[in-house]
Amino acid sequence: MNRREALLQLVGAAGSSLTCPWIDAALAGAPMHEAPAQSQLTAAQRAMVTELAELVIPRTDTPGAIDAGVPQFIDHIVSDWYTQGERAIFLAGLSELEVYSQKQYGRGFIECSHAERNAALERAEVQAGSYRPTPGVGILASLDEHSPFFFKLKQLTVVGYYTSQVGATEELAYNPVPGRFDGDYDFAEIGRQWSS
Amino acid sequence: MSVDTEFDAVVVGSGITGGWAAKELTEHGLKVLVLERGKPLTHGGYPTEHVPPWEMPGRNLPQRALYANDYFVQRNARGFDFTTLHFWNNDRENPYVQVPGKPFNWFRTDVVGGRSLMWGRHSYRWSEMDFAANGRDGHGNDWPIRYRDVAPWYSHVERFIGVSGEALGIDVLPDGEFQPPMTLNVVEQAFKTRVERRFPGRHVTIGRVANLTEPLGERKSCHYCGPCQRGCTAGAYFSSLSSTLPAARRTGNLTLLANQVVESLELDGARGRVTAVRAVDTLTRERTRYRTKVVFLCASTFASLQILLNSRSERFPGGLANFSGTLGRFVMDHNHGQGAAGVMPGFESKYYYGNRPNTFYIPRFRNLERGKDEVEFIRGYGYQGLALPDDWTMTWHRIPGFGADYKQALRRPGRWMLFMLGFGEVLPYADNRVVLDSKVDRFGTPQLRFEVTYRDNERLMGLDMAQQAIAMLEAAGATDILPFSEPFIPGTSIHEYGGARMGRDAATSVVNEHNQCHDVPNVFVTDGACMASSACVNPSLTFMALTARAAEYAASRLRDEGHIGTAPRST
Repeated sequence: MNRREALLQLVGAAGSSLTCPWIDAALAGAPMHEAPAQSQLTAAQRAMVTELAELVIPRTDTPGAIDAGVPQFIDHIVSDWYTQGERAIFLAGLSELEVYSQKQYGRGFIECSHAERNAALERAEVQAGSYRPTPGVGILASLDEHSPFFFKLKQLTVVGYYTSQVGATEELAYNPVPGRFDGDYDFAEIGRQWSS
Repeated sequence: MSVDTEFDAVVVGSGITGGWAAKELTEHGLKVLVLERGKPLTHGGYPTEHVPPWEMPGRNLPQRALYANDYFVQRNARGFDFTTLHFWNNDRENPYVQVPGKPFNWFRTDVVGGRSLMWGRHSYRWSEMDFAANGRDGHGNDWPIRYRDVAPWYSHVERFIGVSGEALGIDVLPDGEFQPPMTLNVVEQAFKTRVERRFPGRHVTIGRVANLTEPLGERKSCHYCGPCQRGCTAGAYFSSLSSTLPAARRTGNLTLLANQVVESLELDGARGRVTAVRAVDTLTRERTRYRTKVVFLCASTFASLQILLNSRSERFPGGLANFSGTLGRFVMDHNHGQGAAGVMPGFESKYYYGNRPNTFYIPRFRNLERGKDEVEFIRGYGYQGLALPDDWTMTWHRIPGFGADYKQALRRPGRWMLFMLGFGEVLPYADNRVVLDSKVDRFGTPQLRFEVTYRDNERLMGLDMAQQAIAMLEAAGATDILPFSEPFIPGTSIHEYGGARMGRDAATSVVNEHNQCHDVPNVFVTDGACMASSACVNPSLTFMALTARAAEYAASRLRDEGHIGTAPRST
């Protein structure tokens, strides 16, 4: 049985009592992630998000955030998933970066040099100050609605990148069917974390 | 509507115990109907098995509105997320009543296979001490059976489900029919060595789990992918879908209907026996009576109690088989949530290969001999735990900055952490109970109301669970130790027991030593509802063994007499 058949069996049998957006999307053949239904970001904000994501996870010997489609993921989460409060913090953070760039460098964030953008984001990190997410809670279990802009940006970039196909398979090591267990395995043999 | 066929047996529920009842009864030649309230599903039809994260919507971030509206209880269950959502109960459609100050997590599935799809798979035998506990200290009623009565059935079940584990040769955790054990990782091995040296008599062993390390029939051994709860087409862990239901189907004697929620059992008052099972189709709302000679209630502890309580008649105004007045009372869960975690330094060059679907286990070490331990509680607890290095989901915010150096730093796993959580025995209290509420559900069935709280014995035991976890972590050289001192709210361990307890005396218990209702001899309750105490080990193996044992008894009575039932007692 393939996945589509399995989904059909579940949905078909349960009728309207099982409405599950993911299964609906899967059955409709729609992409199950990424592009927001209706972006709440302006073109200028999307351009900033693209540059910022790449600042957090740049292309190195492996692909970076842009290669991994992280800007689209961030747009999707901010537009479709965030609460109004979260979105307000995120958008205010973008505005503040823009205002700071104009004031400090005399041009918009996008027009700034790499070093200037880097400095502007470092300032945002300093402003986030002593904020620390709840210890012991994984990034996927919950996102803190009230975290400052810098953590929101960093968090979305990290989630988007390491759960993307390139992030999970090229930057980290992906092996969905290991076939055996070795609990005394030298890290040097693999050299990177498992994403699976 | 009434179905013309009379079945030999109707089994309510298709999960851990329902699957066993179906297998055993059909293999004894009985024509069996299994009724499952959940959606249909067949083995292999697991929509998220091996699906990579980038194909999950929102990368599996919580679907906040959906969870808040429809899964406000289930969202707190271990293993609940978007990869398993389709298996869980919809809380809005299937409500129950919680009393202020007495919260209860009723975690339920809504699919053929039930919680056997997502169970924790730890499989431990009760010990002689566990069966004797009620009789020894006077809490609850004495079990009418002992270890020797169940031991051959434990073997029978273990051989079929496949349990990998290590034989220890200790009385508190009797050995079984084991496949080769999985292994501890290097950090857990060090923990074991240090703990066993510092605390003679305590054992750290790999969990005994119903995950195969060798092929068994058509089922393959574990490939260590990790998230068992999504379903396993290889059948590498035991579920009713992968194992007992196919065995039942092979006999040609099985009929299984999904989307059939049982409302009540229909009593022939004159004969004192149940003659039919009344069910509603969850999609069409059509009502059907299924005529039968025998009923096996395997709907899960609380669902079975709800059916019995809702089967009211002139003869049984307080619920079927309730002459004793104990129906719904003495319900239990495991005292769970207390323990500790710490950092295990010195293993920075070590990692792991493969995702072991198992933990270590520390068998009960408290109160093994009367008066030996200076503790202020009775009975005991065990721990499950594991060591794992923090991954990027945990370290992303501890590493400051951003950019190429940050990315490089995140490539490495973080510190090795060792976690351990206790599972403690909860005593049977008469006023820990479930009753029918005046509110009804979408089918008109009265909702179940939970009135369950923990008492001093559980509180004192929980504190010891945290303190001893800290002591063992310290002995193992852990740093940054974080204690967990608060219990989870009742229900969270999903180790549900009681409410139709087993006993010798019909005046104080609901079922006899064969899981047969004292008052209605053709009704058997073989899921967790039959339990008179909870022990501290994971329950499912015992439920399965009792189910197989009861099925043998029921089948032999049917074979010998053509029916089950002696003249009912009068009130």
